[in-house]
Amino acid sequence: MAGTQAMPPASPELAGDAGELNGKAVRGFILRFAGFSLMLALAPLIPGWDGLVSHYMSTLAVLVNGLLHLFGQPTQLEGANVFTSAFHVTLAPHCSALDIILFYSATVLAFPTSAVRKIVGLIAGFVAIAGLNLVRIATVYLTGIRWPAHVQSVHEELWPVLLIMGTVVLCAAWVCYARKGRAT
Amino acid sequence: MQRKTVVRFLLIALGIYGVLTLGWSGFGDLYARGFRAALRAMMVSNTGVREADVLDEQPSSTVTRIIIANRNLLATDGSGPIRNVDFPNSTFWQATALFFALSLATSRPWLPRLLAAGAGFINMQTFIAGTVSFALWNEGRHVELSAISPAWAATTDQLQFILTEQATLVVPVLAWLAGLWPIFKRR
Repeated sequence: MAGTQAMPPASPELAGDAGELNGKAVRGFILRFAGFSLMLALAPLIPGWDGLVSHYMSTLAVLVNGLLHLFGQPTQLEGANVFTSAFHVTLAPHCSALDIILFYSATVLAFPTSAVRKIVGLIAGFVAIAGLNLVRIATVYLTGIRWPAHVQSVHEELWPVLLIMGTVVLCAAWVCYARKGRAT
Repeated sequence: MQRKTVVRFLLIALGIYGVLTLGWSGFGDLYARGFRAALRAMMVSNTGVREADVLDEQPSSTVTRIIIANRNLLATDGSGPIRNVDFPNSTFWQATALFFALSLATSRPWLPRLLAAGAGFINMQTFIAGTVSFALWNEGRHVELSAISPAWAATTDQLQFILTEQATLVVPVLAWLAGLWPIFKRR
């Protein structure tokens, strides 16, 4: 599909280089992006979704526990709880960063490029965001151990912003990768 | 597409976003005050079945709490069932800040850039007002302000989650792209 190359995050100046952008192309991307976002946001209504998220959270807890052990923390694992006698973190569904992953996925799916590049983008993005989220949970735990007074601000103020920043960068990297594919 | 231009755009956008969200808490506090004032203007009324009250910095300074009640269920001394609906102040502010960061980092003349930012800000706040209204309607069923079947309640709860959590990332991007629309429309 020719001429559909506008997408976040990009500037009109960037888009202008391609010389292909027009209202129809941008409108197409906006509609697809909104459509995929809505479709992915409704995923929790699919039967079995909760079980899937539960498995994902358990896996995340195992990985957080493993990461903290690498940093010399004698943490224990019980379901979605990672704890020591000094501090504990409980991984709730909203700690999954799935909203960020779904946003990124909608961007990848809406952008016109080959299916192979989309699959690569989806997998790489999932790994990157899940990895960043893993670091987030581990650092919240470590903050709780060393600077307990700052846990709330690190958890609720710093990391949400960093996750969004990371996702914006990831989207930009994806755009560059996808457009490179279109140019070759 | 020039990689240098992408990096420049990103650095400016991330810089603005960082300053607005982490640089000085005064931006967020100012937004929260405005948010609560707008909620009071929109929601609090002495007429109608629904009674709503917007609390300042309760249960904490990071949350805006709206208390809703059904006047028909309240006793004359004001006691009766209530429903607390909490909105973290950071959620809507971070969405608004992301929109401003993307809009202001976009390379275009300053006048259209500021006009697009202003129009997008209005669109964003309209979406937020709609989200809050929907959440209050949905939560209102717990005090008999609305009545829906359990099956629909699961769907409306999910929709509320989408609007208050997930859409706060998607909507700023859509508002930003919509602001770019006049440029592309001319091509």
